[in-house]
Amino acid sequence: MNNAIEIKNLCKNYPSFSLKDVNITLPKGYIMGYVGANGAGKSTTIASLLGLIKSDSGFCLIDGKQMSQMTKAEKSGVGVVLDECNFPETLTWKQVDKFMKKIYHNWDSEKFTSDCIKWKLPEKTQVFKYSKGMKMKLSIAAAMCHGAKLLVLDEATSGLDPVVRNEILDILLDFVQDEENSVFMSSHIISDLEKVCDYITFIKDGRIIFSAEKERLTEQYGILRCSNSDFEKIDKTAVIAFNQNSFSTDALVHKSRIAGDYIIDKANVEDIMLYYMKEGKE
Amino acid sequence: MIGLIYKDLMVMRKTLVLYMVIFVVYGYMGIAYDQGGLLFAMVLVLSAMLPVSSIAYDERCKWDKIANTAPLSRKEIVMAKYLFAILLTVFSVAVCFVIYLFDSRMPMTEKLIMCYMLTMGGMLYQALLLPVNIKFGAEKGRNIMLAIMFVPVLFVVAVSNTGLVDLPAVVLFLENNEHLIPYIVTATVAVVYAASVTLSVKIYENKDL
Repeated sequence: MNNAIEIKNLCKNYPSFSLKDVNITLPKGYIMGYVGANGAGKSTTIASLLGLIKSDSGFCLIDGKQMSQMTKAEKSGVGVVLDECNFPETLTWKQVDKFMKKIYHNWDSEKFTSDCIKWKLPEKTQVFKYSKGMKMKLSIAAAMCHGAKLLVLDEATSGLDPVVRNEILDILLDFVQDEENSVFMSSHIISDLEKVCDYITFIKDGRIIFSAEKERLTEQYGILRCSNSDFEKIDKTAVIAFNQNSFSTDALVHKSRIAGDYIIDKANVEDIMLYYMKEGKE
Repeated sequence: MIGLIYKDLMVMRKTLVLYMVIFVVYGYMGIAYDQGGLLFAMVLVLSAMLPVSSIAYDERCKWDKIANTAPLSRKEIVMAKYLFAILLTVFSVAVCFVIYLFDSRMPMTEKLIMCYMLTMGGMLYQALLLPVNIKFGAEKGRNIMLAIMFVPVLFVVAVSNTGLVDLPAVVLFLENNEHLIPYIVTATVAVVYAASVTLSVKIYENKDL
């Protein structure tokens, strides 16, 4: 089994929102960024993946197994960091260590302690007094000290300052140095994903728009800059979305489908997302 | 599962200390003014309220999301809550017993009967409270509990009014067979508690977190 994550035809219906036929595959040893606007369905997908909610159809596999069917040892191989610190707020990290080592048979107390000290988490301060960055670091320290092979992060970097975000991204890059380790992280901070991810999956209104290697995406798409009259001559099947003013047009295009001598700038992941999020052609 | 109980104890430790102080004060007043009911009521309140408070604490930090990604089954998570609740009852009844050891007026048999009744009462309360709180959460659960707490009384009144059960005859039977009461009470509480655990596990297993 070479896939860390395999999500097939996942559907989940709520009165005001639906997740429709979500398909995602993350090979082992890579980082996948899961991106989309607020309310697009990222957290619902992650909750389904982790077995926190029941899907209406489809399935989610981690290393070939559904979370609910995993043995305790297999479950220990999944580290989870959600958008909030989910440890009881009245405890200190020392106390978190004390009870977590009774929950995980392979809890590495030494690593947890050294990470907490390394990241300057105050020993005697209760979690509710921590800054958002400290809370995230505590969650990451906990997720990484029970032999996790897969880290699942849901908006773990949101609301953090750039310095802390960079530190966390470095931790993730370190983690995947072991080729058996993988990371699936959702975020709407695209620049973070661009820095560390090998794969990008984009969800909009509950549907996956694309899921591909980051390099392939940036090779495949470009920003066409031309006059409005030139834009009229362009094959519109190549155009994803465009911005137009009185004189010129900027458009996200499939580079290979544009014939002729036009200026096509490199599109980064953020450009691709923003154009896809725009109203208009998809 | 031990880890979860340990976590609940650590989270609730300050509240527990506070309750212990209240126990001592109420115990002293109870012995001094011959008002044992005060302390007994407190024990029942502790048995009922602390497990619900621990559910409220879990909700506040969304602990269940992390617990469910840990190597724990949903059944274990629910069972841990019930064991924590039983532990609290046993502990508070034990404290109550120790306090009443200082009351020389109360015979030992009476003290033991009191402890037994408190344990059964506390567990019965928990059996009613926990499924409601697991289903609706601590906040909604509290209101729903207020709404349904008189249902058993209404049920007994309704049953006796319909004549399906001859209540005076039942009372007479119990009066004539006092030695059977502990067995009947224990069996009833055990059945209700087992049903409550089963229901809570079922609710929690189907819950979206």
